[in-house]
Amino acid sequence: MMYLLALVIAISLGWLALQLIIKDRLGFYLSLFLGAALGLGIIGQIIFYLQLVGNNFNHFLPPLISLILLGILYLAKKTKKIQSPRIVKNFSLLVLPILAIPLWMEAHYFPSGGWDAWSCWNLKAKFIYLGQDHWKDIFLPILWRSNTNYPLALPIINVWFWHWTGFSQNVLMLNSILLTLLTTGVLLLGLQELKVSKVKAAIVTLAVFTLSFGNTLSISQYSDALFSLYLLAAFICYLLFRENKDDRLLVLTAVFIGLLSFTKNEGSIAAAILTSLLIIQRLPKPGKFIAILIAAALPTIIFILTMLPHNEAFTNGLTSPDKPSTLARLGYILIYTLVEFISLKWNGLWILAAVGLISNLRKAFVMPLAIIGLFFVLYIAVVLAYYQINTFFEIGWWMSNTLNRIIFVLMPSVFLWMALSLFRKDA
Amino acid sequence: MRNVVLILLVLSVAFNAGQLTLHLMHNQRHATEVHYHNLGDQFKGLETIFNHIRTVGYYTDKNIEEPLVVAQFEQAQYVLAPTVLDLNNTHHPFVIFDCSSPEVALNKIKELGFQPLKANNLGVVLALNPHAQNLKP
Repeated sequence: MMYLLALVIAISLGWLALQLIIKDRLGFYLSLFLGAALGLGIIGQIIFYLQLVGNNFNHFLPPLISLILLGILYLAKKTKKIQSPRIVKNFSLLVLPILAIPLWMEAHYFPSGGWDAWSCWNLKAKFIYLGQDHWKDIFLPILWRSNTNYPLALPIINVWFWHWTGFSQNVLMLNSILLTLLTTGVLLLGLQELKVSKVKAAIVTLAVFTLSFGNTLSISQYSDALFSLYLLAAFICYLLFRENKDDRLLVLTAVFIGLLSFTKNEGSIAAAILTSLLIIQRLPKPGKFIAILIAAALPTIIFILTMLPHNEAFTNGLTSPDKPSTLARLGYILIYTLVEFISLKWNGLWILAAVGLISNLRKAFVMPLAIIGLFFVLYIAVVLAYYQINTFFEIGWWMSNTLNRIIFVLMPSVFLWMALSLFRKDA
Repeated sequence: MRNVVLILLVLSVAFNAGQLTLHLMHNQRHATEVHYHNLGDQFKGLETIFNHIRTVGYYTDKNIEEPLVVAQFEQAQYVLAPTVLDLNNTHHPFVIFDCSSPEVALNKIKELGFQPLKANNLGVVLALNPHAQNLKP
C-alpha cells in the first residue's frame, strides 16, 4: 500500500510537470507513461539535492518537498487552465498485464536480482538510506568491486520507495518490474503516437519483451532498465518534435537526455553522444535546449565534479607496460561483439531488426529516423573502445558479463527505429 | 518485404513466448536451489552487532578470485551495509572469518589472539580483536 502511495506521488509529479511542458499535446496513456518516467527522475533529483545539502538521508523532507511541489504544479496547471488529454479505449495496453506475469514470476525466482544489483546498485541504495552522515563511504576505494564511480539515479529512486515502505527487497523487485513495464508502455504508445497501428505496435513490443533472456535481464535490478527507459523516451520525444515541429517536445527530449546521464556512466556517454548528434541537426533555439539539458543533468555534473572517486578498476592499456592494449585484444573484442549479436539467446531478434532496416533503407537511413542508427553505431564504438583501452579485467570474462546487458538496453530503441521505418501508416 | 518482416515478428513472439514459458516452468521446478543471491543469508543478524560501526575486517582463506567466493563476500557486504567490509584486514575491532571450515577459522582466530563472539556451521565466525586501537567497550 505504501509502495503504491510512493508511486502515485511520483507519477502525479511527473504527470503534472509533463502537462505544464507539453499541455495536451500527447495522448493520455503516453503522457502517463512519460510522466511516470519523468516523475521518478524528479523525485531522484529532489533526494539527491537534499542529500547533497544535508549529507544525510532526511526522512522528513523528501515527502514534504515532493508534496509541496505537487501542490505548486497542480495550482500552475489550474491557473494556466491546461486541459488533460482525453482518455480513449486502447486494447493494446493489454500487453502490459500480459508481460507483467513473466516478469513477476522471474523476479520471485531472483529476489536479489543479478550480481551487480547486490554488489553495486542496491548496495549504494543501502548506504544512502541507512548510512546517515557516512553514506559517502560508498565511494571508498576498498569498495572498488562495487563500481564506486557509478551515478546514483536508480539507488536514489529505490530509497524513495524505502522511505515509505521501510527497507525491503520486494521494493527492488517491484521497481525492476515497474521500470520494464514503463519502457514497454513507452515503446508501445510511442509507436502509436508516431502513426504505427495498435496491432503492429503491440507485435513489435511483444517481440522485444517476451524474449526469455531479456526477461531475466529486466528483473536483474540493474540501472540498465532506467537507461533503456530514458533513452527510448528521449528518442520518441525527439521524433515527435520533428514530426510536429513543436518546440515543447524538444524541451522534453532535453529533460530525458539529462535524466539519462545520471543512470550510469554509459548513460553519461550516451547523453553526450545523443546531445552532439541533435545539436548538429540545427535545432531551433539550441541555447535553450542546452540550458534545459544542463539543468536536467545537473546532478550528473555535480556528481562528476564533487563526488566521483578514482576508478580503481581502470588500467590504461595504452600506457600500461604490464597490461597493454594489444591487437589480439582488439580482434577478440570485434569478433566477440559480432558473435554476440547473432547469439542464440537473442532468438534472431537482432538479425530480424537488421533485415527490417535494410529492407527499407530509404526510410530507415534518412533523418530524423537515422539519428537512432547513428547513435547506435557511435555508442557501440565508444563501448568497444573502452573495452580495448581499459585492460584491468580479463576481456573474455568482462565481455561475457556485460556486453549482453549493454546491447539489450538498446533493443527497444532499435525496434522503435525498425518499426517506424517499416510500419508507419505513411511508410 | 514489410509483410515478411511482420510475419517474422509474429513468429518471434510465438517462439519467444513458448521459450519463456518453458524457462519459467524450469525456474518453478528449481525454485528451492541455492543461488548466488542466497549466499548473504549466513551473515544476517550481524548487522545488529555492527550498529554504527563503519568498518569491520573480513578474513577469508578462500581464493577471492573464485566467483563463488567473491559473490559471498559481496553478498556479505550488501547484507551488512552501511558497514564497510575491509577484505583481509584483521586490524579492525571486529573481524568476520569466512573460512573453508569452522576449524580453520577458529585456528586463525587463536593464532591472532582474537576472541570468537558468534559462529555458524558454515565456517562464518565473528571475532573481537582485543588489540585494535579504536576498540570501544
